[in-house]
Amino acid sequence: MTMLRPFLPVGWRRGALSVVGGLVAAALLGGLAEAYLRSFPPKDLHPYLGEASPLTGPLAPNDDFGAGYRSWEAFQETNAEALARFGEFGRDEDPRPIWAMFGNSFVQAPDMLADTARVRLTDRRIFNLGRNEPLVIRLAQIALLLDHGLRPERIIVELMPLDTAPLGAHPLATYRVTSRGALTYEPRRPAGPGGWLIDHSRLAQTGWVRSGRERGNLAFRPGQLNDGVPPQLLDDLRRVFGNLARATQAHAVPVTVVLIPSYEQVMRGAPRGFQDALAPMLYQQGYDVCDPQAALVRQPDRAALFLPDKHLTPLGNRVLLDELLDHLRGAGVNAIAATGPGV
Amino acid sequence: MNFTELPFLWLLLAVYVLWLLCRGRERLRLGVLLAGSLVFYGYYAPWLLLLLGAYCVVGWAVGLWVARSRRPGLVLALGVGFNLAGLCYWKYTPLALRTLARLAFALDLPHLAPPPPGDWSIPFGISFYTFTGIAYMVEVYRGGLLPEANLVRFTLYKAFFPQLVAGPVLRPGDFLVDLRAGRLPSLPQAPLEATLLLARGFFKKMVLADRIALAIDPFFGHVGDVSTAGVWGLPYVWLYAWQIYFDFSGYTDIARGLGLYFGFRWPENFDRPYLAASVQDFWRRWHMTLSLFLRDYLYVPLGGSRRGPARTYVNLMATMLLGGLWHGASWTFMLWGGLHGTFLVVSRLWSGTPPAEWLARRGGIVWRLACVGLTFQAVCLAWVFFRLNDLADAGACLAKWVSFDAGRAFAGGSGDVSLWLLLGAYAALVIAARRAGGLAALERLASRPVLAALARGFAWGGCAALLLLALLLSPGGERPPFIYFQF
Repeated sequence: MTMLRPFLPVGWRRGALSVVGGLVAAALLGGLAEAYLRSFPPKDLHPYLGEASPLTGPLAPNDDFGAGYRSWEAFQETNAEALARFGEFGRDEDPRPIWAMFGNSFVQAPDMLADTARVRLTDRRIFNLGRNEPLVIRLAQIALLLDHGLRPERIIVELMPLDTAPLGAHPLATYRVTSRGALTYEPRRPAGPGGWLIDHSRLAQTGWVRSGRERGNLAFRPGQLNDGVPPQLLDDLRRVFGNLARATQAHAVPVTVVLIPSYEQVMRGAPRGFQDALAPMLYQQGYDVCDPQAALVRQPDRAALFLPDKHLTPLGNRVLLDELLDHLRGAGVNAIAATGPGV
Repeated sequence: MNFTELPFLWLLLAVYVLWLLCRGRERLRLGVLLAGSLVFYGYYAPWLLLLLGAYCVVGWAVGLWVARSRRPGLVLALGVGFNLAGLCYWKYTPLALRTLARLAFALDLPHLAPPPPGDWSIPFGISFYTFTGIAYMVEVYRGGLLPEANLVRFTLYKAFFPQLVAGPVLRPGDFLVDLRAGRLPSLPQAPLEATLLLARGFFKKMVLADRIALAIDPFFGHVGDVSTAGVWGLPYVWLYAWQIYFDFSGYTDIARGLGLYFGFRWPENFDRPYLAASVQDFWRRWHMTLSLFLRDYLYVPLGGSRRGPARTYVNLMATMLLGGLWHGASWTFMLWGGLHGTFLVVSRLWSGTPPAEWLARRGGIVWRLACVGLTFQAVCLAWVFFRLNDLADAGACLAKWVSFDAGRAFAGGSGDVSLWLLLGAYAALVIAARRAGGLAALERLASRPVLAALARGFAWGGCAALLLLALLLSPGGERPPFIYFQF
């Protein structure tokens, strides 16, 4: 106050002192909060902390898919239950050819496509892991399994708009797999002092992440996938599916990609931009593509195809499987499906 | 609408700016506040406005009718009956249907069992605006208040958004008198105190209550499962006691802070309730506006303590049982109220005995601490029936108070060090602020301008930081609603 006296009028001096008091309070509380967040970062910050993230997992960086399992052993450990159920990849007394199914919960969850196929197909064995993993991990799994002896007659990969949403928000270039095996993302930062602050303060980083501006592709909106696939996402999908195509072709295993339509596309006539963008790319890479949307839309009672959580009902899965089998018959693969109640 | 969601922030900003712009026009200010309140209440379910409107029109008309009628008692009974009938219908129909169905099956008369209530939702805030309506009618009947002739002012008294959903329970003397012609505030009151209440309220709710909820909800959701076998239940109930305190007192702080911003000062609702040295003391410190409402409009009309000890105990039990039932349509809430009634009766019986009087005189701080600890534990025992609406679950939780494995005692959220640290840090801050004298200390510094300026800035800076930290230290993800919104 004494130092300020010669330069400032009384009101200004008091104002300056109030600002000093305010800054001291903010610094005190901010310092405490910063220390707390450094020791206990909130869960929504974990995927953006890189090596400081407390997340752990079985993953490692992968040139082909951005991230994949660290080793065959890590994969076996993570999927021990499913692998034990299946035995030695079918090299046992069961002579039936194997169909390996990969995808999200529309394939993996109980009573969904894999279970429906297992019940109805009498002349095929269905291999699936029963886990819903991020898309790139799913694709990396396929390459890993082929490298370690899985020789299915056919691989069936499900792909829906929602599978690609995480990759849309976090492009491959932002993937950082930590030394503890967790998938994290390099957050987007503003240039200048804002970026420095985010790098050096957990409080700032938390605020930045909660503002939703940390995503690698800020312009991406999952809702826009029905209208089309943004160029950056399409490039990433071209890269990972191209690498999978090379792996499967090297082992001479055919792959059918099933483009399951979203609930909005079946029930509300949402545009097919996603399928229209991906089908040509997948054909070009040598995949067989099955698009069951017309079969689902044709159903007289479309509401009966979906559960309240928008997964497919037993009827929906049956229609989906029938369409897949019809499609494969066209490609010269004849699987026998049981019919009648209960199957 | 909820105080912690973004649309509320936009509504508040819009209403506040318009309110400031209409500073010189009382009718416009009334209109702005009422319009904002109606948007707040009808935002997700516009049909609720019809219900609120019916309550307001009936309350307003009954008030005028009581004042002019030759048989005001009858008119009052009609008005109170309308309020209670509406409350009972919305709140207790599902409980009645379920109870009748159980009874019918127990008596082997399944054909008499009513159908289940289905997706029944209680209009939020109905308990609170029922109470304000009853308080208004009774006060007019008693002659302590002139009836409000203006329907808009009366509607604003019942529907003003900061207090509409979960109180504090405002009596006409607390609020309606400030809405009378010529008295409607046009300036905010005590902006620093208002901001402190807002910051503290949001911090309590978004950081403390929501973090506790995240830690304890899995335990209470699976309290009867094998997944919680061996876990010690007591720390979870302690944490729940703090969750409900931070959640509800946080709401009240926000409501009172918003009230001050619009120029209204409303009564305190909490006064460090877990420092109470008896259950009687607890009810003087917890949800104080409800306690006073129950005392003045239920306990005293029943006879209070004027008709001898036995009748006093009956009145206490009746008041607490009805208070419990008011909280929710479940028999466990009755049990909660019944337990508190029992504690109050036991406390009264004990307090007149020679050992109690001797301990009160000679026990000193040790006896005082023992009383605080015992009261807190008794309140926690009752909270079990408040949190768990299934008797089997409540029983399983109580069994876990005494039966647990040492190795798994703190498994799950109760062993979350970060949560206990946060609670400890908050407690330290509160104690430090109280020792410094709180906001009242600023008044005492008036003669020392340098310190006063520094301290004022310190207080404003602290409020701003606390508001920001409410966002940054909250657990993130979907935010649970305020607990008292369901009542």
